[in-house]
Amino acid sequence: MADKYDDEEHRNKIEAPGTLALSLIFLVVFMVLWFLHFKWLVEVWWVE
Amino acid sequence: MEFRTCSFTGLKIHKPAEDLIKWNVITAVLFLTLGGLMGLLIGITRWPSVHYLDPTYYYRYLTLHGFDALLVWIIFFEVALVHFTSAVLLNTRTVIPSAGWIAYSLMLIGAIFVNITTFAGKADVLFTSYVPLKASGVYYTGVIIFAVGALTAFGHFFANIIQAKRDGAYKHSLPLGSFGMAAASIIAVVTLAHGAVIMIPTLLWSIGLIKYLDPGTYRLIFWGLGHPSQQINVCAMVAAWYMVSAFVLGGKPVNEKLSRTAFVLYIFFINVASEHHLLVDPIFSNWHKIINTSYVMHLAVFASMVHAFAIPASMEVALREKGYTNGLFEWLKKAPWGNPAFSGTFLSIIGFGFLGGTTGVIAGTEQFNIIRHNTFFITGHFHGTVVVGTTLAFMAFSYLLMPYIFKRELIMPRLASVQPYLYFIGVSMVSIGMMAAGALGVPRRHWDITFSGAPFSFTFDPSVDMFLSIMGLGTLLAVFAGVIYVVVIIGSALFGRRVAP
Repeated sequence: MADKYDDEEHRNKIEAPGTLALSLIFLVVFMVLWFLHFKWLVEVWWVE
Repeated sequence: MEFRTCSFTGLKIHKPAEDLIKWNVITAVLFLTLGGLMGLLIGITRWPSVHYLDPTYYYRYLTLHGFDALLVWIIFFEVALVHFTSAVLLNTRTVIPSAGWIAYSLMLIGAIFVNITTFAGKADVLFTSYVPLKASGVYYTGVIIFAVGALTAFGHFFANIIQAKRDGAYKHSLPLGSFGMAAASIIAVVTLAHGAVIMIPTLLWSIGLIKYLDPGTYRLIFWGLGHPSQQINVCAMVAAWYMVSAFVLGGKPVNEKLSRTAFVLYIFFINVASEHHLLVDPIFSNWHKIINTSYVMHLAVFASMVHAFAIPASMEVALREKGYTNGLFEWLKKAPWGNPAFSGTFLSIIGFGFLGGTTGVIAGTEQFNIIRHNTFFITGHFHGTVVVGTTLAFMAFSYLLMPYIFKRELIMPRLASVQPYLYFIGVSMVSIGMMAAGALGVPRRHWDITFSGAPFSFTFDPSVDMFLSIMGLGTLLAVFAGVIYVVVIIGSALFGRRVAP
């Protein structure tokens, strides 16, 4: 089945730049939260 | 033939398919109500400053919460989607409607058997019913009847699409919504076959015809049923996401072949995720566990990430085509946030990805699994997938079904428009509270985390009380939003203003 966007006009174009930006923002926020949570867990569980 | 044309979508709707969808949706919502009520009772019991139920009722209601909210509500709704995607979406008829009604009746009878037996105190075995915990034979009979009914319903999907092909309803491949439900139905057949393989001997063991059932074997085969049933949910949920994008915004996948490939990846690899239940069991070798959890599982994760980007992208492209082209995010600002079908779907995508999905990858990795296994973290993870993800997606889709299938307008539309937000916030609090408490070692399922009377004492980090309180408050908010949903859907089905034919 032919895709609606599978033609010369669309082939090398970023169709959804907002979604791409949103994904990158979420990725960075998630990584920061993940490392903060990891740091917190290490502090809670750390045994001398 | 009894057809009508939907005034919103232009789809041709076969009357028997419409009736089957209506009854399956309403039954699903009634069982969600029961499962949600049980969820309220056990949620406030795990809240330390309330600790409401005594242990007997806690475990009894936990069993029912798992069965009604995780299986019955979701599978009845999926059967509604089976009829929607194999008949309505293809503009064709449903074949042998009586098979649909037999499936519906079997599922209902099975669910009633399980509920009555559990309420009567004859099946306090929790959702997993791990051997050697033993329930009454009626309980296992109910599960088997329910599974046979569900299998018949998913078989109906294949009968419908074969007939639709013969009738020329589609030429090459199914539309994406139907394709997603085809993937769900294939996984369902494999899943329910596992259910039959393990539940029939367990029934025979329960009534004394078999003397011994090996717990390790039970766990191995049970998880061919227990977790893959969640993968049916994932496929059905993603199919619902695509359909809401198409119906509400006119969205089409940016690369349809890629989206279809992602569904095929689900069929081949997502059931592999079931093995994480057995990572602390000696059944599999280390080689098997590492290959499974460090490599193969990620092919299914990759498929989820394809969908997670493809669907918002399809929404963005559709909104940009409507003229919202300023900057990166005008389309997002102008999206129909007041439409509960859209907002519920968008929140479901975010919640499934960032609460359920990421934590599932973490917990499914062998090295992490060993420290998170059987903690409250796991419960938090699957409230992210099954509740924020699947349940919220199905709620959103049912807001569309009211005008399309029930031919009724929503009652209390303003309340309906805030419901997805309240539900998302409530269940996210439940999920995050559980995961944080679980990361600090709080066990799942357990009524008494103080382990009073045990020979060894253990003191949790004091922040555990705060996280469990966040979970408790989230439970109250989620149940409040759940009540709004039930009132709006049942009220609209019964008393909503009729839309023009």
